[in-house]
Amino acid sequence: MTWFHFANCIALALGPVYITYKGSALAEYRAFSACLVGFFGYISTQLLKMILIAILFPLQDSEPFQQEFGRAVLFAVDIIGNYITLSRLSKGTPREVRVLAAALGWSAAEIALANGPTLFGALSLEFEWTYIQRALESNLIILFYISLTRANQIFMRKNNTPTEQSLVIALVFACVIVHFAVGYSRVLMGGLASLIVFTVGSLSLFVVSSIISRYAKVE
Amino acid sequence: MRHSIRYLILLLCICLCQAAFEFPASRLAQLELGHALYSSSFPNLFPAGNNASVKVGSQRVYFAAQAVDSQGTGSLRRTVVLVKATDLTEDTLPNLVDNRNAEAILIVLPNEQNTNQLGDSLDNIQKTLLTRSWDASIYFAFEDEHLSSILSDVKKTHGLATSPLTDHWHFVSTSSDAKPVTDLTITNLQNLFKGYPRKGITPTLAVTASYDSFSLAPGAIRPNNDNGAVALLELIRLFSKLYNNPETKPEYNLLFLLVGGSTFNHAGTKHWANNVEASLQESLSFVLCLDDLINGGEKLNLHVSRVSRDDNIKSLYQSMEATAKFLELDFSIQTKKINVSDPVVHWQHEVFSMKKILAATLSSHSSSSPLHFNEHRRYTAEELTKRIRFVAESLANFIYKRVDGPIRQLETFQEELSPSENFVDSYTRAFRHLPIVQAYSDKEDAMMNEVFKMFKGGNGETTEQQFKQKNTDITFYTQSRNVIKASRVKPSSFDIILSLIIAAYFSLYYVMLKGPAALRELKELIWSSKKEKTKKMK
Repeated sequence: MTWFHFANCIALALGPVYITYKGSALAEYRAFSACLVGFFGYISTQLLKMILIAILFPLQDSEPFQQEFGRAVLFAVDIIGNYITLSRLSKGTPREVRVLAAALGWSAAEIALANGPTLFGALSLEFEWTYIQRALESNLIILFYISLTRANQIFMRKNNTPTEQSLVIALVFACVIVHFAVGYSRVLMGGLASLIVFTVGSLSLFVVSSIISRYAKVE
Repeated sequence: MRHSIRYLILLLCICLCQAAFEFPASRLAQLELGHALYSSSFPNLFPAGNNASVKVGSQRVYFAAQAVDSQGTGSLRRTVVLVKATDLTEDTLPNLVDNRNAEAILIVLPNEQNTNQLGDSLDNIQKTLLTRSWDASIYFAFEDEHLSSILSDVKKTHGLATSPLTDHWHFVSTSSDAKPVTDLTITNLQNLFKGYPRKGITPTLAVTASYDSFSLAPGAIRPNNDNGAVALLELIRLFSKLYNNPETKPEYNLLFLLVGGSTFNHAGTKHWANNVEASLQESLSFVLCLDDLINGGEKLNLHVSRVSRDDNIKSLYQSMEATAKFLELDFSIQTKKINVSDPVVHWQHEVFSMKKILAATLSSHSSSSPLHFNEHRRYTAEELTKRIRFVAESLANFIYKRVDGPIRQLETFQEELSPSENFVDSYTRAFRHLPIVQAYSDKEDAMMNEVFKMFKGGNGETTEQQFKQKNTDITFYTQSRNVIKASRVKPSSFDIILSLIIAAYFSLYYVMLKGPAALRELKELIWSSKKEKTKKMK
């Protein structure tokens, strides 16, 4: 039964990526290559980030708070990487499709490379809720990055009003805070708590980013 | 979000070491009687043609079940049954294995720290365990906090209707396949302390004991011989002091002999007796074999095949009787003639008697049975030390010819020469927990090497003798260190429900993304597949 359970977890983790691609406008615009740009954008960003960590952060034991804070600071690299990836996409496709393609490719890479490997633990005999939590987290990752990429998209426009600009910066900060809260709650209270934090955080980010992007588009 | 490569590296570790709980377990000894012949060393135990074998797979997955209600019915296939040793009765195991087809049984022994008596609670069923064959693997493990939590957990869920959310326990044993032990190398050791030479031949007195023993489950159940070799080691320690001091060196040679293969009809003793140097055999005046000195009861018996008329030996018996009186021990001499046609060697001294060497066995048991079941006494190191002292004193009184002297002179081993209770205690414990079972011990056996090292001490002349024992009537099967892994699992219905939920979630998500179009698509999908089917049918 462990294989069945493993298959369940993998399906739960990867299924939404596929369905999002098939169910959204991405399939209609054949934006697969755009998704691939997002995918490799994530990988190169992570490589760069690791080099930065190796240079800037010497190995040392520090408090969980400090560690998580360091991660939140380094998340800036992710944001910049995401911004660059988004700017690489061809301007031919509608803005929403570009955002979705970059975000989906990006989160697919994170799910496959960061969350996916831990799911192999589901192959062990011992049952643990962790793997189902991890798989659910993978779903939220998509929402989280869609919000972040939307923020970057609006930030990229040249003719933003000051309100829009400040709203977008606030949204990016909110993303960093959610990222920090998820990591810190995992250290302090375990997987279930961080899943709840992540659910609340990413859902609200998604709603807020939808509102902002609609507002920005209307202007 | 997190560092992906770090996870990739962690992947292997995660797959390999899970949080599941592991504990060591000893498996019931697996033996087979190859021939219709009686097992020569367990004559009273195996009826002809019966094999006491336990079949064990290499890696199996079991479900845990509860079996404290041993009266229950219902099949226990693919189930490991957890039973507390204290709840076991003679009928429990046959009922579980024969009537209910339990595949494995894990007998949970009380924590050894609490009782300090290995496998005491199993005394009443030991004979049942060994005298028949079992179609189930039987394991023994000591209770600890994890195992008792599993036990109470299993008890709690037993009998309740199982919902998809209830946890079950899976047990996996990591033992490798049991293989028959074909070649046995048995080592005998001798340590000769030379006294002042006399005119002619200096007489030699030999003391022997066997180091090997048999246990139903080594490490979990007490072996049948846990003190003979200890006594021998302590005697060497005591007498080496006397022999090293020129003032106390007697005109007698003292030979200590540590033999193996006692489970195989005293194969080690036989080999030594057949290959002893002629000069040594000539000088041998008496061999004292040390059997179990304490488990049999209060009384000490000296088993001889016939009462010797030799004055010298008579004085040894007298010395023993006098020392026993002095130490207030119950001691008597038992005579039993050797039945030459009997292939079974009942007592170790019979081997020597057949070779016309005067010999006797000192044992606490009054009759010979190689595995003295139901006779495990709780004894203290003090009691055993007293008996070892008895042997030492009587030998010393004989060697120094002080039998007729005043009784206070009967004490040689006092003050710094007195037997050490700590030594006896630690070695008995070691022999209980790490018994040297001939079939399972190889050259790397730490306990065996330790005992040999200890035996060779004391400035005597040590010689080692090794031989291969083949064609024994009993075939032992290898006993590797078993580790049982217990993991908490969910029933398969849990995963089925989980996949249904996932499917529902995905469809809902798809419908949300696509709106009403999705429903149309789904409908078409179902229709088209039906059409294809009907086409194929045509």
